[in-house]
Amino acid sequence: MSKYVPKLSDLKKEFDEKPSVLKGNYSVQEWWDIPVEFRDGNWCFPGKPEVLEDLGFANPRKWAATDENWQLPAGWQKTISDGLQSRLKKYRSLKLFLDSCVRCGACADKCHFFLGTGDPKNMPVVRAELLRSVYRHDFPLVEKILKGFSGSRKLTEAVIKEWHMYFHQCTECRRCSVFCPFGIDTAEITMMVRELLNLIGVNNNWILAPVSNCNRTGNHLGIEPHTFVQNINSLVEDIEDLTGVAVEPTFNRKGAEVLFITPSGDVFGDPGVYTMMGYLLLFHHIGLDYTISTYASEGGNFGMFTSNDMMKKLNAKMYHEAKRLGVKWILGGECGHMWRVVHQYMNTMNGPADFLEVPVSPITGTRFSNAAATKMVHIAEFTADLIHHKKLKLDPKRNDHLRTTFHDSCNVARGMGMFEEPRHILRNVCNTFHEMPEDTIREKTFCCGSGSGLNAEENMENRMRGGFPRANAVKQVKDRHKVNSLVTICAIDRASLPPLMNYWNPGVSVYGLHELVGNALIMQGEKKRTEDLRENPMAGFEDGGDDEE
Amino acid sequence: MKKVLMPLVMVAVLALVPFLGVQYAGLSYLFGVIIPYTAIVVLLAGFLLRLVDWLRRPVPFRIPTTCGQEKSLEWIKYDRFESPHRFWEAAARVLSEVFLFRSLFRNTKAELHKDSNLAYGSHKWLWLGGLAFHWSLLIIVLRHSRFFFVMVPGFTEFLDHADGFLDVTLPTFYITNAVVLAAITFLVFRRLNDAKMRLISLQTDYFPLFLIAAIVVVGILMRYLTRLDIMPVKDQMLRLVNFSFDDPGEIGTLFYVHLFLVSVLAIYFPFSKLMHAGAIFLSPTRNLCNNSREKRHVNPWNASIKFKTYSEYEDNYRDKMKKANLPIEKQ
Amino acid sequence: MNTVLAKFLESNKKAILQQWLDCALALFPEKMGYSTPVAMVLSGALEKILSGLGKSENDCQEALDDVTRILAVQNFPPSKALSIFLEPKLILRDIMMKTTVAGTLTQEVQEAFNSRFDRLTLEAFDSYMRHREKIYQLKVEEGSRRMYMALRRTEA
Ligand code: HEM
Ligand code: SF4
Ligand code: SF4
Repeated sequence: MSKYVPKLSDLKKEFDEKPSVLKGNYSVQEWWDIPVEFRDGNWCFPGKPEVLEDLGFANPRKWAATDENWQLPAGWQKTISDGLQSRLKKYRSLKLFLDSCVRCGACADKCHFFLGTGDPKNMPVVRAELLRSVYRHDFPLVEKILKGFSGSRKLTEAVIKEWHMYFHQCTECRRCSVFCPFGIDTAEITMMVRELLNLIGVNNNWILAPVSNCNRTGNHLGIEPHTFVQNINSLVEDIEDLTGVAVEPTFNRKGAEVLFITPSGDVFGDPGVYTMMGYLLLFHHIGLDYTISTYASEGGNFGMFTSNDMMKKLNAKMYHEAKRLGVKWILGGECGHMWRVVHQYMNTMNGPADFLEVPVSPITGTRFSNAAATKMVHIAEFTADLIHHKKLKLDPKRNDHLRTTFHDSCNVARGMGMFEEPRHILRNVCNTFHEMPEDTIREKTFCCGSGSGLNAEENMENRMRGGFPRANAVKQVKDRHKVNSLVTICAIDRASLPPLMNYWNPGVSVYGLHELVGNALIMQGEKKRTEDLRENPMAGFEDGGDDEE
Repeated sequence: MKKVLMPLVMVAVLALVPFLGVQYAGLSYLFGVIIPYTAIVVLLAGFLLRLVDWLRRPVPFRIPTTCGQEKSLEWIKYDRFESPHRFWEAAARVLSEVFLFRSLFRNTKAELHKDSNLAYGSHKWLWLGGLAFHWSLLIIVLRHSRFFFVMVPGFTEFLDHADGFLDVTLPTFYITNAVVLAAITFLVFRRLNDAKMRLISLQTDYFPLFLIAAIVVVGILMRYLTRLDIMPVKDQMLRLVNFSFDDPGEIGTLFYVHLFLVSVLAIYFPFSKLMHAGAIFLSPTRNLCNNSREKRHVNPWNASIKFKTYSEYEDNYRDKMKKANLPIEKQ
Repeated sequence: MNTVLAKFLESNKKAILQQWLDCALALFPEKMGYSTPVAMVLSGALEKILSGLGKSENDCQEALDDVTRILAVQNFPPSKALSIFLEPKLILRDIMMKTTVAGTLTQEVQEAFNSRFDRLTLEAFDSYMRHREKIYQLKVEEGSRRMYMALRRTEA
């Protein structure tokens, strides 16, 4: 713990030097005069040299954000401005978003990081201005003639430090974009700046290590094929212990109808594995002809948080594997950024997927025409369709020990537009479901504060601050309706919301949607179930209790 | 504050230039003919160039911000305008942004309720102020068309009457004049009043507001105070419309100030944030359909990259895969 | 604690609270707006602390926790964070100088108030540290949750 505790002498010094409340001089003139300060808990460790070498990325070295000298490569200014130029040519979005902001401030208080930190540079408009000010300097317009008129500034090392700090305090959640009258999406700007920063070796190990793992082993966690299979098999054993039913997933099997891909967190981490158990139970329940790949074993895509090329590279495995295995279509598990990639990028980047068929549910016969080109269906769409056609035997009472609320994950909400399917499922698998306040759900949902590869341990304080608006909304349903379960359809959420809840709202646990499905499914030949998938007792099903079965 | 005063001074100086120029230097030809022509050329050419400049850049990915339910299963109602699926739905979405400022309407502000629970209440002042500002501006511009046609077009007459229905002054008092000034006042105070807004505002944000306010004020002064003779003005405007380079007739100096400030606005327009008027139509988060899984969106420069193929993967892990009884392609 | 104090606090609660909240919000990089979630929670908690204060046997623990839970994850050091508990003394003095009720507050009562706040500051310190420790604990837990299956295998 000592590592993270600030030194007393530093604190004293800071207290003396900084403007303070007591001195009453907290207000600064211009945002660019506010100094950038890296301190423990507000930055992520940089990419390790060996990781960068493995990926062929620029400027591998040992460094830390708190260093005075960041050892930027020679000519880095040119690298950045050339990089910016070429991206401006390739992306109309970037150019438009840099040109058209009127600084109306509608987005200013919409960002969870601003709401949680009060740091003015976390206002989306200022975050974008961090780049815009440099852009205006580099690409002179008439405005620039009048110096100081439009707030332009030179690209200096201090600016790079500022970029590193604040473009790693944006989770690419797009909430600001919902409120902007011109649809300016700061997430898009963040993605571009992170690409630029990677060109000069300013980066984040928490993002790059998974990227390198995924490239090598097929998944972020670097699980090799045999371990991957072992993991799922031990979940299969757990399922049998709990329900008496033996589910039989297959791996890398050619000729299956469906390839199932989910984030590797579901195979490895707690509580993701319980969601995985839910999927396995569901597929067994309906007799789906599916297979899981150890090669395309990652639904998530941290490449997205690095560069668009890297996103494409990691994503390419999905179609490649589907083609090799000869499946008809792909089914995707619960994940946020994975679905942003699949929904908005995959077919453009790695399509067309002519070797696949338009997805048709083998159980209900529903043709998923909304996925006619990409040929990948979201598990919530798939399950909602099953429930709608009454193909599942469900006992929602088995989730009576859970009083739920639903967290819309940013990417699924604002990058895909899926709101009703998960709610339809949730209402059918449990009896108590309360929505959080209106302006904190659906397209206005608050990010968990750890998205886009910011969920590093060393970044914990930042994450707690950024997640505060979300936690605060949960607290309201907790106080009002005794909610104790936060249900979500995102792997990053399943990893990052538990600490968030533990800190702000102890007593609220985090669940994947299909974990609740798994709890509620009445399996053929099952034994009497008294515990949920986490081996917690279910209310009203205690041994010897009077339930109607 | 420097960033408010500077633009204010700039506008004042700009207003003084034609006044001195015409009154004392007799430069009415410069201010009545040359500058207006230049301004209109710069505005049109600049606006067009900026548009072309944007349009020629590709839209590699289909990235609408989805603010409502996507079209998926048949029995789930999708949100046509917040998650458009067809072209006309996306077009309606853009137009609702243009005419109604739909996204601004969503604006919220956190509020504390009595039970000390936090809620995010709606906050519609910016939407209202912005809408009032832009609509009045539009109507004012359209009203001015009566100076440019020998025969006043019907709809201009209509606007004139509708706008001037409060027939309390002579000449007729236009509502929009009052509204636009009120709205500008609000927009400026909004920027000054709130710490956040003070911080994000630049000189280039105050400047157009002051400039437009100055144009309106000078216009009003002309009309109600100095009771400017309209006919020579109309003559001059007609001459300009007919591409005539003749000397302007005798017109009050105030008119030159008005005309010059409008010219400045026109010249400033294409190089500044005012280009949002064009950008709003092109914004890829608003004008694209949310149907990228149904129809393939093509990226003209789709980067070619090398990824790690299955056979490379199998080569790396063949033994481990065999041990785990995983099927393999090559022994 | 004391009925005179309770009365005084009751009648000046609004003014004290406002100033106190202002100090708290001014801790943040740019003064945090009143309508942000952070300000909401702080204002609720500070009010609870204040209204609990005049009464005897008051337990402001929960409200205190709410405040320090926010402060413990901010970008400023503990010395600065906890400085907000020093503020009320000054605010009280200020207000007493301005109001006529001031005369009715004896030296003794003031001292009671001050010592109560001293105690509160110490309690806040404890609470702050508890939350810091929670953060470290979260880091450890998160690591093991992430490696859940690996840990399970090594245990087995
Ligand atoms: C297609 C036409 C246009 C649309 C849809 C549009 C939309 C908007 C919106 C949504 C805002 C932000 C809200 C606000 O501050 O009011 C705005 C701001 C602004 N617009 Fe427009 N606009 C258009 C044309 C124009 C034109 C032609 C001008 C000026 C000649 C103009 C001048 C301004 C100014 C000065 C602001 C900034 C207001 C402020 O500083 O608060 N707009 N516009
Ligand atoms: S809402 Fe849009 S236009 Fe307004 S300040 Fe934010 S990014 Fe700029
Ligand atoms: S995308 Fe999300 S995190 Fe980033 S600036 Fe916008 S609201 Fe903040």
